Amino acid sequence: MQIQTLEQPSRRGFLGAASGLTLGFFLPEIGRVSELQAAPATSTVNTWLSIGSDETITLTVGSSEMGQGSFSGLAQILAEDLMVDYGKVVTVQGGPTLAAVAPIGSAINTVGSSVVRTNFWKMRDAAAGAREMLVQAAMNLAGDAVRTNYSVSNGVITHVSDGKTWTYGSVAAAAAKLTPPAAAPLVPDSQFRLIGKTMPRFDIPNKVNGSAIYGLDVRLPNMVYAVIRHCPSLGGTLAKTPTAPSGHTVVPTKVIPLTARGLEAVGNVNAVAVVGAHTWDAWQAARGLNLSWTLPSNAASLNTAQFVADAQALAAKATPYAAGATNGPGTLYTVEGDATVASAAISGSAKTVDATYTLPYVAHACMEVLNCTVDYVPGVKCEVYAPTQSAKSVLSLITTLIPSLQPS
Amino acid sequence: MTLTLNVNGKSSTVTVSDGGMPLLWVLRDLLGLTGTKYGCGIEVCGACTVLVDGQPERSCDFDVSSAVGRKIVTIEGLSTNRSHPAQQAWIANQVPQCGYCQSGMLMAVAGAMNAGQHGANIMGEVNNLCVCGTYGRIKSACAKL
Ligand code: FES
Ligand code: FES
Repeated sequence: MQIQTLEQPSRRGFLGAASGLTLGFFLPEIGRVSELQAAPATSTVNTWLSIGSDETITLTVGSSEMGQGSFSGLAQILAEDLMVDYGKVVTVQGGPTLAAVAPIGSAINTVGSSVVRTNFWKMRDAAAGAREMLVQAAMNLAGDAVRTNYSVSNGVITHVSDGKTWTYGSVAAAAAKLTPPAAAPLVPDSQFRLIGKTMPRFDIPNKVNGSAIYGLDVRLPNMVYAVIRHCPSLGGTLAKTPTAPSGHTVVPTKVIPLTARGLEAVGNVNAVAVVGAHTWDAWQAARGLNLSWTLPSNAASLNTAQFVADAQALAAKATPYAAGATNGPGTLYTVEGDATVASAAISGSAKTVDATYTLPYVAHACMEVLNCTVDYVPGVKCEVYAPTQSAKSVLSLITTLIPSLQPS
Repeated sequence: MTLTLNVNGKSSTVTVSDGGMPLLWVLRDLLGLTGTKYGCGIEVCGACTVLVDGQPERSCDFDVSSAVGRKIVTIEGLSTNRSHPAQQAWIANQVPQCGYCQSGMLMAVAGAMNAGQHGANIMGEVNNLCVCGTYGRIKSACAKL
């Protein structure tokens, strides 16, 4: 595998593939410009573009599509400068494994509405570079060095005067052997076919007939279903492992050690999973369990009313946020600007309005209940199917939980 | 007990230990029809909506024994090729975001249409939840139905 630095400062590299042209792109790290001169390492590739000899165009990205339209948006951007039909581009999510986190170096996550925003120019540069490599391959076959003799439309390269054509697929393998261009021209804004247009999303058709597979829909041979009964109070522990109802397995579940995430003590058993033949079966069995919990001494005060009262008391005496300071838990965050300016404005106002707003703990509640399906055969495999926007974090979590898991 | 159900025009036999098992779990876990979703299990969200004799029902609280002898239609059976007018309108208006609520949403809309509702009146019959907030597009999609 050989990676070449293509163009500064976008720091992207191209990689030749046997069956066609495959390119890897590199995310520039904002604020680390001095390192842009260094040869890109494979580990920084997060997006792959493959143009197959069979005319397929596959974009493998290191982010997740959750219905926000990122995959369609990236395809739209790519198709513009690659000069292909939007519908020809197949966007897929890289499937990370411990051995090969693919696309390499990528978190496979989606945060902060960043997928299109951070990839726009890289996608365009890479698409334009790929296009020029393909055109160059056709020119080499024709023994012609004059680029202006060629036009491209919908993935077909045409010699403008003699009408001879080459499809991308037919020259992809030859293009893979070429040196990527230093700066391929982008499609001028005035000629945009796709960018700025509203295009149909790829994921919609499967979301109107029930065929889209969500995490909860994964079905594996001989799978069993588990439901969890949690301790009714944060910080509580299971007093005694209950007896499994016949035909069911009761698994005391351990708290996952998460730092600074609440009151749970690491290693405490605070939930019970009940395994059954199907969801309802496990559910009925779990409901029927007579569980006894050891509740924390402050259990009585762990309720919404108390949280709100505590928060208000804290707000009244908390340390205001200070730029550059540690700003630990309990910091009072105020509106942007200088607090003294704000208080001066308030005291100088003819009328002031004093209101307290509180928000309940409902943010980020999704329609699909949290779930995952695991196919674990010790020593053989551990495959995890989960509705997550951060697949690589799931991988790290699993290695924390099952340290014996080694990349295969 | 063994029950025979008519699901999407086909006769299916299922064995359940309890006739009170919700139709939702029979569809999803026993028949493998995962298009019908589980969101809350307490008749609040509507993600589990299916048609029973043409009327929308929340399958999470619909005993399987009550479904015997009735025509059950799930999202998989709404049409064979996305040709139901609601599915077409959903595609034309690019309604789904995450899509998790949309099976139930479409079944609820199809049920309202079966009941003779049109256009804006359809939404009067549908109280399903969409956490992604696609209501604006749902409204546009329903407008011409
Ligand atoms: S799952 Fe049935 S209404 Fe929510
Ligand atoms: S589309 Fe996501 S919940 Fe409705």
